[in-house]
Amino acid sequence: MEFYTYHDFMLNAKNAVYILMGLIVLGFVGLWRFVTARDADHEAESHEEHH
Amino acid sequence: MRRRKFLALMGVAGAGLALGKTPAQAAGNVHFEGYPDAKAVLFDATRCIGCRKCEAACNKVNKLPAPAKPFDDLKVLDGERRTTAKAYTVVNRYQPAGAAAPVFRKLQCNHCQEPACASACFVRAFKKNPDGSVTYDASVCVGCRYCMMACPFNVPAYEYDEPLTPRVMKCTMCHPQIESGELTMPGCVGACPKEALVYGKRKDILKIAHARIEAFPGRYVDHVYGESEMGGTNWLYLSGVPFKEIGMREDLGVTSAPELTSGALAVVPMVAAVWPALLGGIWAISKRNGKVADEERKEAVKTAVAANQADNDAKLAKAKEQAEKDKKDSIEREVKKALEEAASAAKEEEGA
Amino acid sequence: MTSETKKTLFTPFNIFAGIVLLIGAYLTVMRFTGGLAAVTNLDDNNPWGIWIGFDLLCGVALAAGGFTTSAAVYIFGMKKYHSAVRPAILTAFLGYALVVFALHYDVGRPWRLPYPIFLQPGTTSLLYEVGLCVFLYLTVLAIEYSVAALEWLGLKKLRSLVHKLTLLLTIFGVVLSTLHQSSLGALYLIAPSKLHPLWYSTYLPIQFFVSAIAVGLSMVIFEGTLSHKPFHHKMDATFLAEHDGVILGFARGASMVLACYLAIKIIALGADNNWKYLVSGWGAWYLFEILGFVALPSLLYAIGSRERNIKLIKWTAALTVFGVVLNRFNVSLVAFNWQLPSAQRYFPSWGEIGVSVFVVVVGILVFRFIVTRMPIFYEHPEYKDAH
Repeated sequence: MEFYTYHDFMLNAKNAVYILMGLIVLGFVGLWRFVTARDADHEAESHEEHH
Repeated sequence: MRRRKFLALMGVAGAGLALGKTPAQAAGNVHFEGYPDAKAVLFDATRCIGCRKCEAACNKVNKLPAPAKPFDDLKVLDGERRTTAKAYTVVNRYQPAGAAAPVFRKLQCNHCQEPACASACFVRAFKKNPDGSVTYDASVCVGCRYCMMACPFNVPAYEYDEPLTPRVMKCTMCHPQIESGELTMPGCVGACPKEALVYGKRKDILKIAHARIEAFPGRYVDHVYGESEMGGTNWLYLSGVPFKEIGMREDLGVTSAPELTSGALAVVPMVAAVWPALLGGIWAISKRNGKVADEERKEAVKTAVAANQADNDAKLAKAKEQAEKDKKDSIEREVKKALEEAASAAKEEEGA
Repeated sequence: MTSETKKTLFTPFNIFAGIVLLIGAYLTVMRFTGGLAAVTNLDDNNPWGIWIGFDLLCGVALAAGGFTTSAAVYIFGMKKYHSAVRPAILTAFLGYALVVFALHYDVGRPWRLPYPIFLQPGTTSLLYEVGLCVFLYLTVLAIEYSVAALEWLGLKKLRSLVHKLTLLLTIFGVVLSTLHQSSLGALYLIAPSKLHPLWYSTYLPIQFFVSAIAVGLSMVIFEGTLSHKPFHHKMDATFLAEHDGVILGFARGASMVLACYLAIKIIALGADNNWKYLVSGWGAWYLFEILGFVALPSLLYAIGSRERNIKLIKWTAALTVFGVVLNRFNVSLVAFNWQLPSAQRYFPSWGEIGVSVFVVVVGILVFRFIVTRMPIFYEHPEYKDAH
């Protein structure tokens, strides 16, 4: 795509960046859930160990 | 009112100290045009014949070491060369596609309006002079070579074979020689037999360049190279073939070096201003959390101990009670036993 | 000296180190008698080689474990990682000291290194920012590290005085690290015409900073793994007990930080509309870097911390460290001057590699000297409750 004004270029780039931002936030939620999914189990385990 | 006064004062102070201009020009959208009487050189590639006389003159006036091959040996032009620590200027020969004859192009420091080397130097060894030249001071240079990294034209060279006193070497636009009166124009300009080089005020030089394009539209590419490249240079170029065909980059853009780094530099004081407060706040919160957790833990321990104590007390009381009861029982039992024994003994006595 | 200590002196590593030191001494003489030309492949088009690309850029990035760990423990209150602080601070201190040491080979007149700070500051230069911060941060690290040295020397009063400065020094250290880690990336902002668009971005400073945090966390894991075998006998019960917790916690942190770094890298592509460059040889190399050494380690760290797989985490730490080294090489050497014809491109000489190896070996030897004598992996018995 060719751009003839800075405004057009910015419009295109910022459109892409806003979409990326949405995807990135969702990705973070996904990663966080993936990493912490087993925390409850481990806490329960360690809780039992103490007794 | 007071705030406005303060801001106005700050504006004046800032303009006066940093810019040396009137307060009006310091407001918000600043724009700099360079020294008003700065000189420039125009190189016209359609006039250059590749005789290397400029190289010889440069070598002479700057007292540079003699080259391996003499300056009248034009075989040197067979390979593409760049500026070195021993040659501030070189002429290269190009054979553009479709051109009848080869085209020559002279290469030296372009003396940027906003020099990248000066912007990059962490010890202010480079200076843009009022006459348009960019000069270098070896007496403070550390030899980090960041100027060479920053230069978009790959001009500065370095004395790599000097173990302890290496210098960065580049064209000075003959600033010292002109200042001392030894020369009236740069050595290369004076030596050119074809008037391919013209020296004068940058404003006038630009007019001359545009006038030539207008007078001979078929002869020139409609662009004065250096008018806006990297924020503009004080060495300007005219050519009959596209500039990239004679080894000049057309993709440098018009943003000057100081503008490229101003955003990053602006963040620096913000980090110093924001981080300590933010980190201190986080520390205070995490300390408070730790304290609360500690207190909760202590409280829990206390409650547990108290509950335990009560429990123990109750048990003890019960045991005591039991013991008392046992004691009482045993006494009663003993008394009863004794009484029974006494009774039976009395009976026996009566019977006997 | 008993025959036993004599025997232990000639280990394979010591012999290797001895040879490297001899080569280093030879190269030092060459450098300071024949100039850079005698030892390096640097030229006028390629003024910065691996002494900057590796010794400076990677050296500073790999020493980022110091500020990340001390910030986690002293500012964010993650006290369970306390035993990781001292090794991290020591590594950072040695790392920065070696960076400065290595710079003496690279710059033309090393005795003038204080000039920009004390004589004639060029404050428009990002390199000035780097220089000032490295100078100040090296001082901060020296003070932070001195607690261990003072315990070793038995100077109790001075030690407790320095110890009281911990929070102040930590915050100052984070400020300085933020600044110079990012400024190392910002060094390249001035040369958009020389650095390939896939690597050039106005986000370079934040990319360098965030990747430095990732590699800082990874270095704590990686180095803990390397230290474990030779210095196991020096580690106290607290260190060993906390060790797995440090690894799991840091892996989780590194996974998120790498995801953050990946996000910044992708946004940088979008912000400059550089997608078109992805379909080229450079694009393939770029994707190799960000998929293989950013996205992959982020995922592997996530899996490792989810499944408590210490072994996987340790390998991922090595992968991350390698990835950040690759990134610094790409920015400073591979993608820099990408438009020059291949005959004019730079490749390091054996002398340059020799000096870089020499610097690393000096670092390992000093690290070993210190951890076998001073309370780094263990708490000094007289100062146990002082934390």
